[in-house]
Amino acid sequence: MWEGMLEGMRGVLTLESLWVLLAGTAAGAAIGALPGLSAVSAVALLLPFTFGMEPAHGLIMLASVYTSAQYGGSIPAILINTPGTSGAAATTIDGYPMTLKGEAQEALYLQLFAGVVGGTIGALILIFFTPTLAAWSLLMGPAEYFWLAVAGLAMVASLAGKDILKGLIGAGLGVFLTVPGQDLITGRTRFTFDYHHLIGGIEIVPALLGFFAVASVIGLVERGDESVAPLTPRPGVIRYVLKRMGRMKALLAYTGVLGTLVGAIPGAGASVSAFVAYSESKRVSKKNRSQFGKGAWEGVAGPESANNGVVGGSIVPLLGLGLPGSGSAAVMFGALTVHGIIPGPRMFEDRADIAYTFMLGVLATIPIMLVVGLLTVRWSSLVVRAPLRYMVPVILSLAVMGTYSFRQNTFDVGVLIAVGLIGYLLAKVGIPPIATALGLVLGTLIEHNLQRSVIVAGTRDMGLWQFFFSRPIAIGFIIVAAFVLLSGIRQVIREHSDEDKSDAEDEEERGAEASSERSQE
Amino acid sequence: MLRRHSLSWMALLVAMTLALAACGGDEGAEDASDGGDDDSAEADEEPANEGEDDAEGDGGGDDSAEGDTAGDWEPSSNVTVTVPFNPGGGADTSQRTWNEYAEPLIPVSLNVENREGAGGVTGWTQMINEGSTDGHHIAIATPPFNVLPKVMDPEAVPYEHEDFTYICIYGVVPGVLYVPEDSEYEELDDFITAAEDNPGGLSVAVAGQAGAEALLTYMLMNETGVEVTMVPFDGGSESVAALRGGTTDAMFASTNFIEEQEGEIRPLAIARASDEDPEYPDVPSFNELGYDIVQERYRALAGPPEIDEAAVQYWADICQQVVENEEFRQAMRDTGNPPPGSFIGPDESTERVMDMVSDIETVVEEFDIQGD
Repeated sequence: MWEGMLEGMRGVLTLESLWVLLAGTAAGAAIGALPGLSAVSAVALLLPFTFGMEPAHGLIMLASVYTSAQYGGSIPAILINTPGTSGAAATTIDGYPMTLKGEAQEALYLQLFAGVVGGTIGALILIFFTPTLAAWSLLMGPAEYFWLAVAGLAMVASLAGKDILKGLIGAGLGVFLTVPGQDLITGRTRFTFDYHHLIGGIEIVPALLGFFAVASVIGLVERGDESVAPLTPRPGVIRYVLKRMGRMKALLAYTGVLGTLVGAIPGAGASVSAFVAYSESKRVSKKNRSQFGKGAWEGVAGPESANNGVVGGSIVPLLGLGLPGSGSAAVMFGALTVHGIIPGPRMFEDRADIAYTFMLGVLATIPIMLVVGLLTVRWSSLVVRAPLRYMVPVILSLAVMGTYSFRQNTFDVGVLIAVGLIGYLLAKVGIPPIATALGLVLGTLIEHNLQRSVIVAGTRDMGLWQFFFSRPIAIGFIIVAAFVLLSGIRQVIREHSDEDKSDAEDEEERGAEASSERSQE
Repeated sequence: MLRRHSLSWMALLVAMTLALAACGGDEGAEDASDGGDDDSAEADEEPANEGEDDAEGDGGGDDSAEGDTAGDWEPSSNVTVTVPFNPGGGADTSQRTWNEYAEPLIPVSLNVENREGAGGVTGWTQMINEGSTDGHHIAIATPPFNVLPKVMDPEAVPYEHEDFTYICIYGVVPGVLYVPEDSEYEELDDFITAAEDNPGGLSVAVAGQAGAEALLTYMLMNETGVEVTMVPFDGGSESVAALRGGTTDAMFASTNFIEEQEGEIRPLAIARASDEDPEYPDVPSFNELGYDIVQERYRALAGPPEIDEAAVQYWADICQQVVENEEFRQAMRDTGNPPPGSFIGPDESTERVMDMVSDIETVVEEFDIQGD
């Protein structure tokens, strides 16, 4: 393996590779930062350029595009509450509040450095643990996916703040939005109203953009402020951010590993891992928990580390099993087959040079991404000072363009606007749109895997619950789901009782004041 | 100081991206032209070839006056090729391979437009309803995937089977029954016997909702009289993961996994139509084993319903040259999309697809899987 690494390093440290890395990172960050153009679109857009390149360089370019797209996607998430990629959805929860408090630059640097940590962890796990992780990911069957998704949905409990009921309603609505479309088992179409665009269901990209971009733009207009947020640039901001991050070392490592592991599960995706990381960050940050949702630094660091770890993780099934586990990995798969290379463990025998160059390329992207990021934070944060009368149309146009460019479909634009209005109204009623977004992301996973579990249990003459409990990993996820739900409920009870306690204290004080006033008379 | 000039650095990086893109594009075109020139039919195409290398680099339509080719028609501007699926997938890869070998033969560029949605229906609808009929808009059609939705849900699909003007079929991908490498079923009959003893107890992974593999499973049950249970997944890769992970006992999928997953899963039988000089000679066909089960997926070139007849002829000629190019054939095999044994032109393609439609309608009726 070490000779392979040397080969790989030789492959990566050539002028052409570095050129490709730079180009890929710049392009990926730019495309990822545009709302509506997801990480997969970024990778797919650059795929044709790789056909003329050496396979290893083509792969490195795609990997660097993917990595930096995950980074770039979080920039608008933080600045204007509009994730550029679905992996950045969770970053909006605390990133945007940080911007509103004038801490946009701190948030952007935090996001960059967290991404560096997560991306490095992901790349290292990819390099050293691919065979084990790949074998492990094969153990994920319908039962495991179902309970993983349920655990993800249970995290709504921690996201919803005080009103769990509204959060659950929101999540339920999100799941319901995944119902229109073709049924998995029978192939019959549900709620398509004979509209062929709905056969595939409501697409996630326009829906997420609607929730975030459109809904928050309406909110901005409503506020009537001059600009998105104040910007109070702090001297020595980088050093300040690094110092505060020093206290989050364990969290960053934990969420980076978490992101990589979830990324290695075929079909899970960056948004799922970001939400999982957010929920975990909130759970383990005992001191700062009440700040989550209002601009807690951990709420940005966790998901950002995770969504960059996903990059390394999603390449694990590609190299370890020969199966693409995510949309971007599927594009990389295509990049290999077009050159006549069969992706998978056999690459380590036939074309080890490409395999190692690829893996080391993923690692090499990180420092380049750091450089590109450092250059962009300064001027991208100025966006929040721009007058709203320019920002609003710009954001809306970007959202519409991004949605249309997804698959040149005006129906999607309609979805964008409709979902945007729904999201705005939901927020008015106190239902956090993030809960609905979570339901939307997880809905198909939950339904399809429940259906598959029922079928598979039937072939083994088992009842459904019997089937679930016959699989140790599934049992593990069931426990996680129960745990997450319970700890979320506990948090809420604690917050309520803290409120009651402080209310009681206020009453005591008032009582004391009143009695002292009386005694003075 | 670095920060003050950060905007310029960004501009520099973007410029480098574009420069790299330009280099990458040219390399690809040169390779393709070389391959094409060697093998393409001599007499007709020689004059047109000279214009090509320039045309590739700029990507502009080159109105070469030397176009005295056999037919009367020739594209005069870049041609749109709709691929109603995501880049990197099977259909996309097949079409790009075809494009690579076709471009050196024509005076313009082929631009792929990926228009994914509703299992391909979105892209096909757009091509049929809005595609220009002057021969500058073609698409890849992948029967049965473009006919199945129409059979299942006629109201929802806004095109008819006859709306596709088939030009040629350049890839023939039969369905394959796979089991894990270490499975107890050595041969197809082992599997069938086991299914007889355990009705509904054997599970078969299939990709997609009521798609081609599901039909294949119904055909298997119909022909052998045994009952197996289908477990639908979202795609070939997910089915493979399920098979290898032990969730299902077998899987129906297309041929690409024979090579891609060699050593992890193995094919029991292949549903090809003809056993004469087959691709994958080591895999027995259902026919050879005594079961009349045939299901082939096609990679076909198609145009809108009103497309000019001269254009159809032109593209059919180009297609023939591509299909007979040995390098192309090998490239298609490498991606798991074997080419047909002999060239299948417009009339035969249409006939094959219509036969397929009636076969599908029969199965759907028999098993009552009609949509609402």
